[in-house]
Amino acid sequence: MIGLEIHIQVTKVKTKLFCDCPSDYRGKPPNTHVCPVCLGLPGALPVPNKKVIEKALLASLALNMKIAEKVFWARKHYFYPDLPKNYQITQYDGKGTTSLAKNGWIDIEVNGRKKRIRIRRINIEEDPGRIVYPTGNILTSRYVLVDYNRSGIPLLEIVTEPDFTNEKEVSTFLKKLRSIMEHLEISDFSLEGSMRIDANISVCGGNRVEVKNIGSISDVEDAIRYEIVRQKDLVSKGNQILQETRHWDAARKITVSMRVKETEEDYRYMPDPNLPPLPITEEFIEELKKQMPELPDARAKRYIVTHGMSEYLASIIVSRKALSDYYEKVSEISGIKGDKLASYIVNDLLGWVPEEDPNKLWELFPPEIIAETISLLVNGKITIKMAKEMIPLLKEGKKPSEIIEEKKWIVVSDEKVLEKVVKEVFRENEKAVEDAKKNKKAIQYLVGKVMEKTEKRAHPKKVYEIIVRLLEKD
Amino acid sequence: MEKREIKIDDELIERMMWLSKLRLDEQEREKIKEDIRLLLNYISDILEIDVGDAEELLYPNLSDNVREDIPSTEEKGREHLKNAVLENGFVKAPKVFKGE
Amino acid sequence: MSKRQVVDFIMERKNGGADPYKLVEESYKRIKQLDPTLNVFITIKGDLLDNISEKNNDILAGVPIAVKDNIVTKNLRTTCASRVLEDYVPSYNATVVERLSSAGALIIGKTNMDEFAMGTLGTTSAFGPTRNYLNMNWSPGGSSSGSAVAVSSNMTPLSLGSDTGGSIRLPAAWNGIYGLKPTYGMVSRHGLISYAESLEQIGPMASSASDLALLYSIIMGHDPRDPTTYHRHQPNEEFSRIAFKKPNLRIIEGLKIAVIKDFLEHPDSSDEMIKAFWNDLKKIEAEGAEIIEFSVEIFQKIPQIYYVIAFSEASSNLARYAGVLFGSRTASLADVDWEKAYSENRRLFGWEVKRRIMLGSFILSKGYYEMYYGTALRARRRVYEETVKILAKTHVIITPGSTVPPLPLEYDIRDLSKLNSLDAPLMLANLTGLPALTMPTRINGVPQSIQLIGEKWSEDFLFTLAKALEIIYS
Repeated sequence: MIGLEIHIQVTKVKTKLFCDCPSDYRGKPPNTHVCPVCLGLPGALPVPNKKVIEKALLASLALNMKIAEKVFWARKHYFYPDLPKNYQITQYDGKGTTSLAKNGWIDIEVNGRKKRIRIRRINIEEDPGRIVYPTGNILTSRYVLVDYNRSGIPLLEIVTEPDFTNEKEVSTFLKKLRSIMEHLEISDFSLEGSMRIDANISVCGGNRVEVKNIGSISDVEDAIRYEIVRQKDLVSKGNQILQETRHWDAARKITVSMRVKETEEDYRYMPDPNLPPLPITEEFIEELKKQMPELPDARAKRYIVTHGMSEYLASIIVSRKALSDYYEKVSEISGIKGDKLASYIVNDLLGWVPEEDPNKLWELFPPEIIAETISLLVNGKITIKMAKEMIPLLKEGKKPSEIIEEKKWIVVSDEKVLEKVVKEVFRENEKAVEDAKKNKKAIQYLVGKVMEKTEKRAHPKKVYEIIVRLLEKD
Repeated sequence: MEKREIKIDDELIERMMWLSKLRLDEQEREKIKEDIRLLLNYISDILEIDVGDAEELLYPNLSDNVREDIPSTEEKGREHLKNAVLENGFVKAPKVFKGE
Repeated sequence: MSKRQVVDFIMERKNGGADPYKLVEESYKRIKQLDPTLNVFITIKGDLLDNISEKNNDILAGVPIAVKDNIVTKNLRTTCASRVLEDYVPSYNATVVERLSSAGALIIGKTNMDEFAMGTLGTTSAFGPTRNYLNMNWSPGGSSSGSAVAVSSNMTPLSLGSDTGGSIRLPAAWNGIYGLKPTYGMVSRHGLISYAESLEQIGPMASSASDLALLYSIIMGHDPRDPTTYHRHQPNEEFSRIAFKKPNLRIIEGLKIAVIKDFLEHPDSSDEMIKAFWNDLKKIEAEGAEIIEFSVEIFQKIPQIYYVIAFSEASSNLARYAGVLFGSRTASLADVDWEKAYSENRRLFGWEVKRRIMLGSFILSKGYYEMYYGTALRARRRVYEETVKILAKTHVIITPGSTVPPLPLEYDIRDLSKLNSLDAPLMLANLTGLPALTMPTRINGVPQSIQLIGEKWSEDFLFTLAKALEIIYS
């Protein structure tokens, strides 16, 4: 059984959760985006960012959650150097306060099997500061250094029920969640640390082990795989699994026990006296529903129904918003849609993009250029082989027409030339010609032979037509 | 609710000290025990109040103040950290690992 | 008895007759003469005379004011009378400080108080107690002890205090001056160093109802930096208009006054004080007011309810004083783990603060939250409902400003239950958030005073009434 606790930074707002400090803290010198509020200076008071609440409510709607009647804010008390006030303002399901939204779900499909993953709750909370260890690591450093630029950045905390059975389900879920969050303009996941995951894992009814602070979806897969093997191994040897918190060591790809036994935390949750609950009216929710963009599932369905795209490619295209937007932009310019374009983007172009980050597709391969390329392909001016060969040159900024000229690529579509080649192939493959007369499927073999002879420069559709014509003549 | 007897012993004082991150010496511990006994006895009077089904009241004024997402033009940064010790712009803080 | 110092100064200035340096010069003279014995100021600003401009037409131009030392002042040390903040120099101004400056007022210094506003006698200050100007053996009352004595001893015509559980009104009562705890949400707490945030307000202190209203007109009003402030209030001008208006005794005619017997019949209330209180009421009755007596059992437990809430909130609000981002530190920043370092640094808190934090942390901890904190918040609702019922039948609740004569400075406050009779009428206003104005009825001998508690947002009525009563008692 696996359950997840996911922290997603709301990066697509301009200010922090409770103060008007700019929230684009990445790459900025330490402690330059801080103010009395996010430093917890005596006397400073938090004022909630309306936009964050709106985005969190949109997310709740998208995840089919039951939304609370009011936005409640609670304090979670624990002392730690990254937490200026020594309490975190968050939301909490308890006496007198409640989570922002509860009891939702996401449907996923793994190996053709559909599964519903239940989501227990969504909370908004503030991110703590960032700690660095100047003299060694977390265990050995003589003191720590803290950058509070991250302090007060809004987070969505999303907690699932323990509905997963393996790492594949987890990664499929997380990818879908990621895409939904992208579509809602909540977060830019190309930013380091924008999604952080804690996984609760237990095997064979054993104790629950929490693996904390995993930084990427592929690391989550690795961590879960590692932890399942470790726990099964312990059980098979007749050992107990300790209920503990483990740390994911991304460099060594293992989980490590935090070792030090802490006294059990007592967070002393209480409603924040500075933040009266904010009513969430039905009108407001209706207003938000109107803002709801098309979500990945609906988008995929549209591609399948109106673009004739295969289910498989549609699911890949919509797994990232930037990818889907890109596909649509190229399609809009070129007028071409469906598998041919989708496949070229997913199977060919994306491999040339660093980390396969679809956001970078836009800069590296401007949609106009790819629209031109895909048009050339579809109109038989270039072959798929050429289209693939073009990619590194396009990446250098060359135009498709320049490349064709430079490479002297000509697609043979002259009927007379092709007919000559076809006749040649017919002579060399008499048995195949006989087969083809009886069985249309065998025609492809002859097409392949023609392509070989022309170094794949023959226009495949034309070749096919000529073969059919000549076979009928015989 | 019934007035419940809470045992004020070393264990309770130890727990209070841990919760509030306050260290007291031996002498102070004895003194705080007596103070806690006095105060706890006093505030425990509220357990005799019949609160019925009254809802909790924490906010005397149910204002609905939120903020638009507009970054400030005011100065932000290290001028707010003059009371901290800085090292390369970072705030210096005690180490986090409690073991040796 | 009452001195309209500021209002008269402004009128004089308008007519061209006032020396703009007059009040500040007088203040410095009095401070130099009296502060060494009275210990009113923790920090004095020495250069105000350089900042006065004869051409300044701001309403409070040339008016010196003393500010309680839990209200942050940019570049001016703010200690909360605690060793923890002994050298703390804030980097920003409280909203009330900004508003005072914009009105031309001159902050002459920061006044002594009970440490973090926790105390009844002004004796928990790390800087030693303030003395009562009326009688050096008396406590001046706390926690705004310095701000009260600054006014009563004529060091400044105006001062700001803060009131969490009577901290403006008790010292006002014991020093024979005027003090107002505003309706919760009428004055911004941005920059008020928190003790118990759901209970406290900054408020004005002065030596006449007119000056009190004038100071209030400057500091009151919605503040986008305090999410608990109210934005549908009357304009500030309404209150300055009241300040300059002639008193009108007709407001008393037909006035229905609620008197709470539980406060008067309390075994610890002083017979002399209660007798004097009835005499004071008779004078109002003689002007046509009607007195209606009420008895509400739960009011006897107001202080117990109050302390549960105040301790809880305090334990949370004071968690941030750990010696990292601000505040004094005694522990080394290297080689000591954070828990040891924090516990060491936090030893700098005084005894009263320590015991309140410890009990508050305990109240919020597992197993006790609902029993104490939850119950207190429900009881608070009951108190609120009972009070609203009384105010639906009457115009104002009047209680003694103090049910006992000023206590001696040496009085032992370890057992708070001994202060029950004193605390209850004052804390009623904090639990309910209602406005409460304390004004003197007699200064000679033991100071006598009354407290007026009105409906929410009824400060205009309280000032108008106080101005009328001022005539009756002079």
